[in-house]
Amino acid sequence: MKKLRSAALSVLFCALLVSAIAGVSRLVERKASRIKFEPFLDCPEDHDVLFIGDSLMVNGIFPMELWQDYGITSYNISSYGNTLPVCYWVMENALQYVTPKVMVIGIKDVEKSYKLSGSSSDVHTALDCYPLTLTKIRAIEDLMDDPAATDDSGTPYTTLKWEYYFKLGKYHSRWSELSASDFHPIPTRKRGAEYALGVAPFKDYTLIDEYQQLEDTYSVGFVYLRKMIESCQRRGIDVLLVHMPYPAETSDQEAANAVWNIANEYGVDYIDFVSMDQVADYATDCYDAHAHLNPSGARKVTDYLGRYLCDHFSVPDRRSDPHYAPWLAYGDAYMEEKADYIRREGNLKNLLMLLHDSDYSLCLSIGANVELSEQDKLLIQNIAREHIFEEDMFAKWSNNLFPLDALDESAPYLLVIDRAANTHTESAGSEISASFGLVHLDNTFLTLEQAGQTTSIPYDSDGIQAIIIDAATNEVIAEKAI
Amino acid sequence: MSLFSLAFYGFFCAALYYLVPRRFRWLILLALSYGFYVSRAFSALPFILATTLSSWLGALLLARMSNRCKARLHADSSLSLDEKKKIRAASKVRRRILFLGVLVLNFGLLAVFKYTDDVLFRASPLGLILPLGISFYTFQSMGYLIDVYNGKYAPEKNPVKFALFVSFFPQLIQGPIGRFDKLGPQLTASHDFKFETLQRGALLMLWGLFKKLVIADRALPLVDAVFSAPAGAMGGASIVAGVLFYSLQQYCDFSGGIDLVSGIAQLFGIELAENFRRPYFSVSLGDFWRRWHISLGAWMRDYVFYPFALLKPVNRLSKAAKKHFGTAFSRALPAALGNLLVFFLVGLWHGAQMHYLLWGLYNGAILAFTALMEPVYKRINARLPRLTASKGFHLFRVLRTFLVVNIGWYFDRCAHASEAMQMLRMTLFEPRFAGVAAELSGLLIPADYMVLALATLLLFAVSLAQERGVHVRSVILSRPLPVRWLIYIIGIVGVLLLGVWGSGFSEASFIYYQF
Repeated sequence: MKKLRSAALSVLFCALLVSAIAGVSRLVERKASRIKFEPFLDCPEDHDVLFIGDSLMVNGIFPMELWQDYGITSYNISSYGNTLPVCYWVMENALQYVTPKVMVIGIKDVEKSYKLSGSSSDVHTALDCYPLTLTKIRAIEDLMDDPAATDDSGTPYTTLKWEYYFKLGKYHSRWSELSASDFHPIPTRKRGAEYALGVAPFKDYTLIDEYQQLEDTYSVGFVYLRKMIESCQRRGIDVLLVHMPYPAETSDQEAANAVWNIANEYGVDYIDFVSMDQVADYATDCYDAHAHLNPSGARKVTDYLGRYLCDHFSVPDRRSDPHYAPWLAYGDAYMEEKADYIRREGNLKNLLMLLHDSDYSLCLSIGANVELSEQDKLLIQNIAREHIFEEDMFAKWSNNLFPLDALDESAPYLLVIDRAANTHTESAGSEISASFGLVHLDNTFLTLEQAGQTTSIPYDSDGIQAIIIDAATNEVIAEKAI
Repeated sequence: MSLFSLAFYGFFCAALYYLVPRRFRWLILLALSYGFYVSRAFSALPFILATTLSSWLGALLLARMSNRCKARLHADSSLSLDEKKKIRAASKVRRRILFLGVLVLNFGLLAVFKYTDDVLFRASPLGLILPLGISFYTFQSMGYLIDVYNGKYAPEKNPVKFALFVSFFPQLIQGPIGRFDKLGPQLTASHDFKFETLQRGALLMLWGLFKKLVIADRALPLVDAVFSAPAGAMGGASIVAGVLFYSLQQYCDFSGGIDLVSGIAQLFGIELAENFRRPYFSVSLGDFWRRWHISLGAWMRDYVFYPFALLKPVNRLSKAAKKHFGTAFSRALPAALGNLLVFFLVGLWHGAQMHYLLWGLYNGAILAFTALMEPVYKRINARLPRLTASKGFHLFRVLRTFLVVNIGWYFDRCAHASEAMQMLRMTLFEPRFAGVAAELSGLLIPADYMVLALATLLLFAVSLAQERGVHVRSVILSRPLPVRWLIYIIGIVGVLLLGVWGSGFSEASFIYYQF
């Protein structure tokens, strides 16, 4: 009896100890993975489409835009620094909880011969939030089986493996940097996507012939790409391979061209945005020299994919389905977050880039003394750019840009973009009537008169003023003077 | 192997130990010890085997020679006194040759690994790697050999049992240096599982991990920065701070490690030799060395100091000194010379570099001086009994000893003797008090300083209680169950949270691991 009591007490003590360690571990862990995946794991079965890839996909595809525009329920489970082996295992972990209709797989770096890139933190972000299951154990053991693979600090991944089982080993020192957000982490409202706020200068590139291909299609990346397709097909999931748009080097394009062979081999769809070269505009849509897309570019790619998913995979529109009522709330929260980005933005280029968004109408005045750069002008034109879908999904962004003629006049320049009426009107210091109100610009104020409400921003001949209006409600969401 | 891995290995071994039948337990301990050794230092296996075999066989032969000699003398009653003397002398010579042979073989092996690169190939080192635990198992084995040679106890006949005494895995990391008559029987005895023993062991391990991971390794970057700073970059006041932090770091590193391995040994019901007894509460340098690395000090005392002091030439020198300097001086002289020799050897044991030798000689010289001045101190104490018995004077002696020890740490920690001298010069003549904050602020973040301060306070409070005779672990174990559990859980989580370990940190190996 005494022995039994001791044994029971020991078990109880171990349980308490494990609980205490788990609680502390949860508190001090970096919240990136939780913020990223918690909304997905809260209701995984809701998702008809999953996007898996690396940072190009994280920044380049916005699931909530797909919901707003096409009623597609999707989640972007891509993470920064993901190699295809990591993608495979993240996908396998995700597929424990959901069987989506379509899996969209980013094929960037398919030619690589390693399983992990340098950053251990990225792998933590990709895997940490998934519960410890046999699949996760297999993921850790498989990804970290190469003694020669090291992280940024030169530490072999084989010796870091245990930190994926016991996260306190990685994060225990964070106790000194805990903040309020660690106690109440706010999950992403972008369903796994992230904004890359910035506008990089145009980077030139050369497109190669589609027959110019990499010969070796059995490197590690290709092997795992095949495994991903096979795994999806076993489960009856449609696969769409995607090469995200960026000014790719020749070697990247050769690898991407070789993916056509894989696509044909398995009979899956493949969109190579790089060779298509007409969805994103690298002069306005890139965040950095590595060509991560900024939100302007991301909206273009997302829009294209939304249409493609509807047309080619019959992904249903869930907006009127009562089961998906919570997604309406997600949509409202997302809109609020988008508006916050615009309210907070103080950089002209970034603001103009963010305004390439059909959810917002705009009144923009540019002071008579302001000299805009060529890229600024492109960004202004980009605001009203439209997506033109042609037959068989050959799509491009309209190049019939408004000329900005009035900019050359010495008077204040006024541009009104009216999303509801689908018009853009420019003039030199006058009055423009739009569906959301009457816009007036003189040498003292930029004014928007709406029923029962007037919004005014002092005019500055050396600055730029903007009134941003929610296209759906005609409500002014921000007044900016830059 | 990380410290946590070592701790887990201890628990794993303890679980196996108690699962097998009693009579096989020591065998499983041997297997686990060799498993530990092979997994960590496979290539060093021949050396520990050589030491084990040579000392076991040597001791056995020494005892056999002695017994044969005695048997021959007993057996033949017709032998004359001269013949008996000859037989004894011949036996003694043979035994001495064998004894010295085994000593030379083992200490020679140790010397080859420890000193070849530093002494012979300083310009282009051969890169010899010290076999795991060689210092500790060599000293332990040779202590055994000397004891058998001196007839203190009979040799162990079973080579497998002796192999366990040499290779018992907790002590291979950094000691303590065990004695066969104390440790040997414990290792091969069958210990019953006792929950309280397990708790005591685990508590000691936790305390060791706290000292090592929370204090020692947290202070390490600061100590490293101060001692590796270019000459003149740190003012004297910052150097003093660095030395004080080193004082703390070294103590917590070494004693924390000893607590950890002693705790592991206690899981099996085995008590290792005590190696630390709150050394910074010492009232003299001699007292300090009776509390710091006790097992090495005791080894040196028993196998170097006393044999040296009893040597005929030393006695003759003592008698000669009596004529010139008086009785008191002549009595103290062997002890003074013995201390000089012992601490020269202690310095050499740390390394052949000049700064270690100077550090050893510094300690030896102070102890020699103290031994010679002993009669004077006694007279002063006799004349001022109230003062010398007061608490204030006690505190003064503790602080004085702390100061003396810390001056020694300059030589111990610096990479070169010249650097130690330079740092001492800066300490005395260029303190630069105004620069302390700027020089030290970037070395640790404020949170680290705060943790260090609180952890050191806890260490001080526990040490003070122990110094006053409180057995802290017994006090904890006597608390009601919920209180005990709360202490355990806070302790474990606290060490996991505040300890310096895992990726992004260089969990330092033990300082004494390299010796």
